[in-house]
Amino acid sequence: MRLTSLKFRHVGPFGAEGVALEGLSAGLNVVCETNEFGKSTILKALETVLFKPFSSADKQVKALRTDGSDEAPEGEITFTSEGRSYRLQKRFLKKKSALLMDAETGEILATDRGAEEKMTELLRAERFDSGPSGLLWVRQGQSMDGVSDDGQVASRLEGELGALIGGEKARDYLTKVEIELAAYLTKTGVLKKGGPLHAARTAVEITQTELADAVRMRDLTKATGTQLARIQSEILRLESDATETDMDVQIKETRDAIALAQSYRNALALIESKRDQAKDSAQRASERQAAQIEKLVVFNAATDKLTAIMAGHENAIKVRDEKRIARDILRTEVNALDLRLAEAGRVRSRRETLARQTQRLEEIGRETTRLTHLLEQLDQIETEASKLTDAISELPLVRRNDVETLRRTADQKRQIEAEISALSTRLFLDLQPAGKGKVTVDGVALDSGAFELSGSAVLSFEGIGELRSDDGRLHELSKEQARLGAEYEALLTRFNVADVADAARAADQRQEWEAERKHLTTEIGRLAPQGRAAFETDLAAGLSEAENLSDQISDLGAEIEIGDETDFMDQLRSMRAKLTVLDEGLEQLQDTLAKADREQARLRERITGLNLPATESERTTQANELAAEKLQFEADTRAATAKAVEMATQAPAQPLEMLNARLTRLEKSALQSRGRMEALKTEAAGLTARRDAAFEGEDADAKVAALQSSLQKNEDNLLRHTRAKDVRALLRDTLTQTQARLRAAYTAPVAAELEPLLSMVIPGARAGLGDSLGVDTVHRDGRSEAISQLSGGTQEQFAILTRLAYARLLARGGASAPVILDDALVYADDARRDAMFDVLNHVSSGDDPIQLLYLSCHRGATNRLGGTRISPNPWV
Amino acid sequence: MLRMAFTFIHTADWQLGKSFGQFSAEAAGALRLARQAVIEQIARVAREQDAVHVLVAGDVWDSAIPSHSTLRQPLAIMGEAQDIHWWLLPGNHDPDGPDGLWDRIDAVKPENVHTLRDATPIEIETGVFILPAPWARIQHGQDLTAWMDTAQTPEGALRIGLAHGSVQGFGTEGDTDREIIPPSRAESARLDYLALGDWHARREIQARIQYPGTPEPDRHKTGARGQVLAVTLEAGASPQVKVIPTAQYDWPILKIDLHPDAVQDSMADLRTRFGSGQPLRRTHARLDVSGAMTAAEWPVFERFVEEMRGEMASLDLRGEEHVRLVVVPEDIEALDAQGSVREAADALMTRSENPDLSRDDRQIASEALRLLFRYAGESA
Repeated sequence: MRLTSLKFRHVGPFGAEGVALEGLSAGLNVVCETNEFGKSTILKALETVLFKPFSSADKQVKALRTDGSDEAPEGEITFTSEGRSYRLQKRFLKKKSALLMDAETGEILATDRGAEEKMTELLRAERFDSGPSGLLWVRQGQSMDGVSDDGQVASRLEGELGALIGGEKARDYLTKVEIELAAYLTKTGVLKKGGPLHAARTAVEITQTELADAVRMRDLTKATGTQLARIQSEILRLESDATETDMDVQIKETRDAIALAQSYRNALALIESKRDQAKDSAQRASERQAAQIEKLVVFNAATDKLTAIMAGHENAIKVRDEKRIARDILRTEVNALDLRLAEAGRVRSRRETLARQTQRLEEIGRETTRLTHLLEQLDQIETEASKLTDAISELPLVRRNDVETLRRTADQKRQIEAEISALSTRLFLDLQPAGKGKVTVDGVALDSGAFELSGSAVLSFEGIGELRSDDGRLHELSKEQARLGAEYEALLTRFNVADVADAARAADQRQEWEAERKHLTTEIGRLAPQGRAAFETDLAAGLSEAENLSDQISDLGAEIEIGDETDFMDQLRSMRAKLTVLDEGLEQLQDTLAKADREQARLRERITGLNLPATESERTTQANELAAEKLQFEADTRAATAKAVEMATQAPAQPLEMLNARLTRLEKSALQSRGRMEALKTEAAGLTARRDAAFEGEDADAKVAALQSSLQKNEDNLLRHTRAKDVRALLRDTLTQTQARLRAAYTAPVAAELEPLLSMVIPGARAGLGDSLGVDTVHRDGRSEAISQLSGGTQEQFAILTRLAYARLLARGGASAPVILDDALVYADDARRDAMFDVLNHVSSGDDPIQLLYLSCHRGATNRLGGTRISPNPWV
Repeated sequence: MLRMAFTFIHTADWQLGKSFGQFSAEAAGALRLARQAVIEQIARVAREQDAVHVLVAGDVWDSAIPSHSTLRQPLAIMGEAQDIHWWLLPGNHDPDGPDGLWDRIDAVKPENVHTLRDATPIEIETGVFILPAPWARIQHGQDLTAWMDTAQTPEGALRIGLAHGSVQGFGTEGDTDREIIPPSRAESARLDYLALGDWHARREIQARIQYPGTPEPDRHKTGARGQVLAVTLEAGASPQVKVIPTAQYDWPILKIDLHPDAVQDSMADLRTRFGSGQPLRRTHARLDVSGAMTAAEWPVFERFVEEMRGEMASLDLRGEEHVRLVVVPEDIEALDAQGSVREAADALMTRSENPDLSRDDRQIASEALRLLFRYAGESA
């Protein structure tokens, strides 16, 4: 379908004059008018005439009327379809009618309902299975959802797609299965908490835990029973053992045996005690007798010894007194000799002093000799030095650096003289024979011929005069020569030398002698660092001391002839030895006397300490009594021993210690058995109580069995719910996949048309078509975005591109549908708008152009759009 | 010594205190009470049969460590029947072992309750001897009846063997290592009757060797229900054995092979079979299903199952996951949809029949398809 012209009357602002858009091209048509012109009224009128039954009187139709007018809205649309031109005329409300005629011939093709049915046919196409078909007429809007006002077309398309993918039923089934599946899973596919599957799984886990607990409790109960049985068996065994061994009887018998053994042991001990007492008494009596005898022996010995000591004591006193007299005489003689020996000692001391002074005198002599020698050396060196000083003073006063000055001046002088000589002149002398020998240079006569006349030479012409050079340079050199000659002469005079060689010799000699004199001065300093005067002072002091010592030695030699000390010493030593012997003898005697006194006292004390009767007869009586007592005790001992031997034959069969050990063992064993039994019974009571407590509750085995059954049931339930979930998931997936596949097949042609258009506006972008037949997803730059997330301008651009894609698809199928854009692209930026304008021009040209009707109030923008300008005119 | 006819009640496997944890607490409690109540029923049967002795061939209790109440209440019930002598034998569930169960029993039992803890002849009545084979632990690994061959009893006395375990060559349940009682024991031990326990189903090995089964079943079984045996022995004659029902609950196992378009008939048949025994409220049934159903039949069958579960003590449905879904064109039409729904249904159908997938995955696909059909049915 292609629109050719649109005419309306009694609609909106157009009133009776009406409005007509004529000359619509097959491509892009642009209507640019100001706001309030009535563009929207034109679109509403076009929609009403195309799709509203002529008999309709609904609000939309009534609202179409011109304000304040009762006139019926009417319209005439001229269009072509499948190569034929049609004109549709409709009038609403009053004199309502519909008329479809051939636009070229004017032939009426159908009227009223027939006309509308024919229009429906023209708007419809037959192809159904490869994308949308029929007329697509789309007004400006955001998406296909927003074009519900296109009536039949949008519904038609949705109906086609709905029928293809199952329509209401498919949605219903999918909704149902998703609702049921939502009970099991969340939207992200995770098990839903609180859902039946989750509950079933939880029940399984809880039951597993309960079962484990129940098994543990059952096993504990069983183990308790087993343990109880074992303990009861042990109790029986212990009781049986106790019966068989009859422990108490054994203990009693052992105790009786111990009593008998203890009694025997006591009786034996009593006898043995008596025996031991008698034996001890006999022993003591024997000891007392022996002590008495020993005392008597000691008494007699001490008495004899005391008598002897008293006799020797008097004799010793006599000897002591004699020795004291002899000692005093000898001591007097020794004292006299000591005096003489002291005198001899003093003489010996003076001799020693004399020897030391003589040695000192010898040392002083050696020192004065050395000093004298040194002074002689000094005298000799100082004499040599003085001679050198004299010789040096006689030399010209010139040194080596002076020689250099002199030599340099002489050299300069010679150089000047050489330069003067070098200033020569080449002359040719032609002498006449008369003149021969009359011309001389420096006294030498010249012959005829060429010769060199030096600057310094003077050519003498005998009798005539002289000839010399008058060169300027020669004058300067001559002056310099004179100056240097004067300077040279002054130096020779100053240094008192004849020439440079003389000066050099004098300088060398001076330097040599001065070095030698310096050496001598150094030697003098080395020999006499303190100076010569010090040597002379030391020498004088040494000579004086030597003289003094010589006098003292002479004096000592006169006194030394007093006596012989050695004789005195021998005599004195002999006398002192004798005196010592006497003193020692006296001391020994004194010690002996003291010792004899102490011995006497000791013996007397001992005799008293023996405590013996005073008289001999009394001492004899005492000895007899002690002997009788001893004999009596020995008899008692023999009797007690015999009785003990007799009792030994009556001893018990087992010793007391053995019996006590047995009793200890038996009592301990009995105690242990009682303790073990007590412990076992306590444990058995505890186990019985525990087991009884367990029996008070549920049947342990039954509980385990019940939980096992419950677990099985819960696991079955879990399987059932898992299966239910899997079944629903499969159904959902199958329905979704088949719907997606069919939708993709249906929308694929549209998507194919959309892609190149989209790339012209947004390069690289791809669009996904949704259930609403509009773009619902945009893919670009590797990510996907919902169309709703994009800006309003971009959404509008996608909506327009989608419509254009549908329209191109229809156009390629020979069922072209116009696309009307009402104030579109107002939100697009300049670049996008220009790109969209390119698209509009692209799709409205070529082999299968889309007819576009672009209505706008933006004259500036539309000026760049191109296309055919359509100016509204009154409907004449 | 010759004795006239002697009648006694032979029972076993009471397994008092069994938990029934697979059921709700209420149902489990009712089942436990039923196992106690059957003692009173056995006492009534004994009186009706003029029997004063009830021989319990092991597994009186389900556990060797029952609680006091589980232990004492049954003993109290037995004590109330003072005219009856109860002879209790330790079995593999309640052995006379270190758990001390039988000490506890001896400590509290009434006088008319007798425990058989030793393998020695017990004269329970003049000229009537019980030769017990008590269990001392859960696994003994030997034939406890062997001693009976050499057991001495007076000439002409009745010898009744009382044992617990499986008989060689007849084992169909329990551990094979317990199948060690030789079927010749009655003959070799000159027994007039060998009263056995262990098998919960009634079984006659020989005329003189019998299993009474449990008096109150505790699991699904095909065939017989709970009962005791009234046995009359007379010298020189075969035992006269009467089977006397005692149970409150039935535990049937029903099997059904479903066929498309015939499920309604199958359900009617099932309803009849469920109601053939005890009332439904005292019937714990197991239903094993197989075969195939259409999508339309499936919810009908599910409603039937829910209905039965409401009426019965319990219904254990098994094998539903193996029932094949048969999809007919009408089912697809019932979806009342086109496009993706049809394609999804086709995909699920293909997946449910894909041999490359695991059985589980195929079943999930089949159930997903059934769910889709259910939605269609709900929105229809």
